[in-house]
Amino acid sequence: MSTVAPPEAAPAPAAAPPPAEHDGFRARLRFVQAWHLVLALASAYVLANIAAGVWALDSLPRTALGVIGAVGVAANLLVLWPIHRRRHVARAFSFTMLYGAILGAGAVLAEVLGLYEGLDLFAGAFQAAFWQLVIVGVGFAWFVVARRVERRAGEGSAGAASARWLARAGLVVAALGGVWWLIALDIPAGLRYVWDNIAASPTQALVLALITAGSLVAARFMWSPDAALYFRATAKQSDRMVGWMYLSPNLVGFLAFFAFPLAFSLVISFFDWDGLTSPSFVGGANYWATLQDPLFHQSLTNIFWFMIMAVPLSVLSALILAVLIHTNYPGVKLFRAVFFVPSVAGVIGVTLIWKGLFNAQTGTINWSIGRVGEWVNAVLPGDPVPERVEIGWLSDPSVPFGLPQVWWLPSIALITVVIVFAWAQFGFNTVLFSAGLQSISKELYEAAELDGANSWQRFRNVTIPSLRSTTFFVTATTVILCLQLFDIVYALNQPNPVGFPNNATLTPVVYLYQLGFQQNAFGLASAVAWVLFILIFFFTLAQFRRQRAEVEG
Amino acid sequence: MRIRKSLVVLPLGTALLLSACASTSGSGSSTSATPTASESQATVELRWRTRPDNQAEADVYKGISDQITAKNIGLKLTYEAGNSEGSPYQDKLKTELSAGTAPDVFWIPGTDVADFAKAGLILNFADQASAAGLNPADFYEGPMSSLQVNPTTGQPDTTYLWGIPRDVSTFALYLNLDLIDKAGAENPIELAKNGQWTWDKFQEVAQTITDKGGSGVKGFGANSWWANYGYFINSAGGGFWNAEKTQCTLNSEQSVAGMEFFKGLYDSGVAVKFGEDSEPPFKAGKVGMFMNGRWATPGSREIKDFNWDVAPLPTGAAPGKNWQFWGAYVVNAKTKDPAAAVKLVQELTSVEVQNEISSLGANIPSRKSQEAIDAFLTYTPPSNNQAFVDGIQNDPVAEGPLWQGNWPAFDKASNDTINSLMNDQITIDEYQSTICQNVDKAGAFE
Repeated sequence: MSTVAPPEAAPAPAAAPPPAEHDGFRARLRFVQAWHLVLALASAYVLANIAAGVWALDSLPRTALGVIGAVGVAANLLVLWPIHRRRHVARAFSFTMLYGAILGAGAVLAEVLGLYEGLDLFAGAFQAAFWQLVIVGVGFAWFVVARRVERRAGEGSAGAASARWLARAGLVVAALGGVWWLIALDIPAGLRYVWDNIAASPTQALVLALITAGSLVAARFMWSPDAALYFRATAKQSDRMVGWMYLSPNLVGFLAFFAFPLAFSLVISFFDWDGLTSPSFVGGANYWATLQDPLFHQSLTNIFWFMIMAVPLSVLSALILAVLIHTNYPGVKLFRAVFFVPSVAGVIGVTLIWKGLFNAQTGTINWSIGRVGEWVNAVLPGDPVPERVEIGWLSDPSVPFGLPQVWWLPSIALITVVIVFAWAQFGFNTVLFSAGLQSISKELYEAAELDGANSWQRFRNVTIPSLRSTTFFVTATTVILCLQLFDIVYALNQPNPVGFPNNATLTPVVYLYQLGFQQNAFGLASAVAWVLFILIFFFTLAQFRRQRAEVEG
Repeated sequence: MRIRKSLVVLPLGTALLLSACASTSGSGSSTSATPTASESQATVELRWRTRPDNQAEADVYKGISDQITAKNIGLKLTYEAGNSEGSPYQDKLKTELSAGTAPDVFWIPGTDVADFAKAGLILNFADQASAAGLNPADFYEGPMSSLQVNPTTGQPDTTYLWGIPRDVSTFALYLNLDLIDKAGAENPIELAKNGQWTWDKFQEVAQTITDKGGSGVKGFGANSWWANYGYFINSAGGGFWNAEKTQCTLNSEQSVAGMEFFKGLYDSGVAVKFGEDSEPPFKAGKVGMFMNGRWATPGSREIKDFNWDVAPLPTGAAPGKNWQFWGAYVVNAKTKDPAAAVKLVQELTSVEVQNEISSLGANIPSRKSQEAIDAFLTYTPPSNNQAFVDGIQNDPVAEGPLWQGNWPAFDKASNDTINSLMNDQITIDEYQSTICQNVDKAGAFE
């Protein structure tokens, strides 16, 4: 949309006279109206081909295209009436539809021309002519610097004349670099490639190009100050349109890469789909199957126990550590950085290191426990304790401490995951608590000291209440991360199946992954994702409500 | 000299994009009339991908790709190394297949062939192979029996050809020879040569190593996925399924006997704890016999602290029955030039290419020619490469897909039940009475 005129002319209020008719305004307005009819016809063409089954498509794309076609027909016809009535809503409505048509037709046109494949190799092309581009950059930088020197030297001075020549020389360098760059890029081959694609589907390419270009012309008109005047747009309404235009690149990205996949997963959760062949509608069967599946229940139980253990461990330890390092002793900043390292280290990498440490046979942790046993035997009387242990940190699905082996109690393997998670998370939480501590007024501590409060009482009655917002944020984000747990389990389980041993480390996201990517049940996996989303949503909502109640109370 | 940014940026961006389009060699097959040095013939651009086991192997595949291009046989190739780990490779491939952007030729594990074929994702290239002189009979029967199947009936049918095996592999016991000597145990290689390498002898050797090898030493180690316990099930005369692969037989008396022996190794304390990765303790010199495939050889070659070699797996009630692992090069059903894609498969599975890959240590050629075997035997260490050859040739059980079922469902359901058994959560009797019910309930044979 860079060619659309910027709204430099502020639209006049409603009382301003309409633009003169002799300047072709009426003709351009009629073009817009006609163009909406054309778009309605194009949408009807899509709809007719879908309805008649001319285009052999799977049910999902067929439905999606059908909806787009129906909306296109209805919207492009409906907009004609408010345009006729000169309502401002018609301008916004029309412009939005034209903008959508430009993006939609342009995107399909790019596919027809094969430009996405070019985009895939963009970096390679850049690399192929990198040094030529550097010459262009150097020449241009040379030109810019020389121009500044010229301005500073003052008009008519000898220095300015020299700088002007230097600026021209810089431009020549940039231009020569540019020519060399174009030669190195092999533009003719690219043009041939695009032309080949056009020749393969000429009608399609022409129609799409016409729709894109026509919509561009119509949109440019509806954006113009004349149109704003004609549709009696207020300054506020025009400003709002400008605001939406600035927002649109991000909004389009959000819709395409976030909202659409989200909506798609919701739709697909009502289908039986292997991700590869045509999906078939199954209604709520996936949700019903998910809620009935013992493995899903197991994953929820596991994640419940995981949260019970991991949240306090990673939040409380972070709070204590933050308080300990909240001093001005030399070297404290180094400690803060060191404690933050687990948060910036790659999860998979550090998990693999933990995996080595937890190995039952050769891991350092079991070895260390053995050394402690040796020391205990050497120092304390009584029955000797084992000096060699083989705790299956990664492989033991049994409940620790001799507790009964029931499915709803956490296993040793799950506790191992808790340890790794808490280690990886507590550094980040510590930084958050440190920031919270720095925001507490020193006067509060001074007042407490004057009142005779000792360290513990200051911590209990000043620090903790003052950190309430931080604690809420840390707890909420840690809970959400717990519910999304996947990567640590995935890495710890290799080379065993994810969820090993015996589903003791199966979490909802691991379960989702198993269904989707290992059993090709993407419909079921999407249903699990939405159930998980609802759980996280209500969990977070409950936390927010509790937080608000505490603040208000 | 005021320059509008759009006047600079737009032409620059367009030029870059056009240039990128000019080099769309990696964008699916396309034909261009590019004369070569030796002949003037159409050059077909193809993308292909395989899963290398390590970076060295990835580099060799890239080199092979460039060599084939340089042969001027009308193929211009782009090689894409897949992830070395199993799952990410499959995840990415399936996503690309779903989006229609998968390479023209790619490698998949043997267990996935049926799912891909039934979904219409890969090409039946029997006719093109015949025209190109690519003979399926040159490759081991095990993989080929799963690659020449009618997807509708699930029955063998030579009018179908879904892929050509890239290579094969099999299990052996990686031995810590120093540890075996130190414990005073009998050498499994010698026992095998004398025909005495039975399950009883195997348990005896494992026990001796555990008892006399030193603190924390175990006689045996294996990982916990299906093929490890599967060998003992097969070797006892049992199996995962019936001959038609339409019914679970994990509850047969023979299968139960195999599982009982396997579990006994763990219960008697001679094995590394079930579910633990046994490779690190083996490399640390804490395991006497480590059961793994040929793919563990490159890693074992890095061992400097002790002498090692390989021995065949011990013989049970049914001789042989080692696994014959394989994966296949298949052709994307959406490739624009099937004949060229098949030509590429032919090149990639030639004797020369297979030997070049095998020399790295991780794989065994899938061609059953004596020339390939003779070359493989020279790729040492280990000295006793014959153990792998015996495993491949001595009545092996080929891994393969369930043409009339669902392998992922079978794998998940059977693995869960076997894990329960191995972790003492169910008894062997409960295993026998539930495993096939669980497999059926999971829809493994629907």
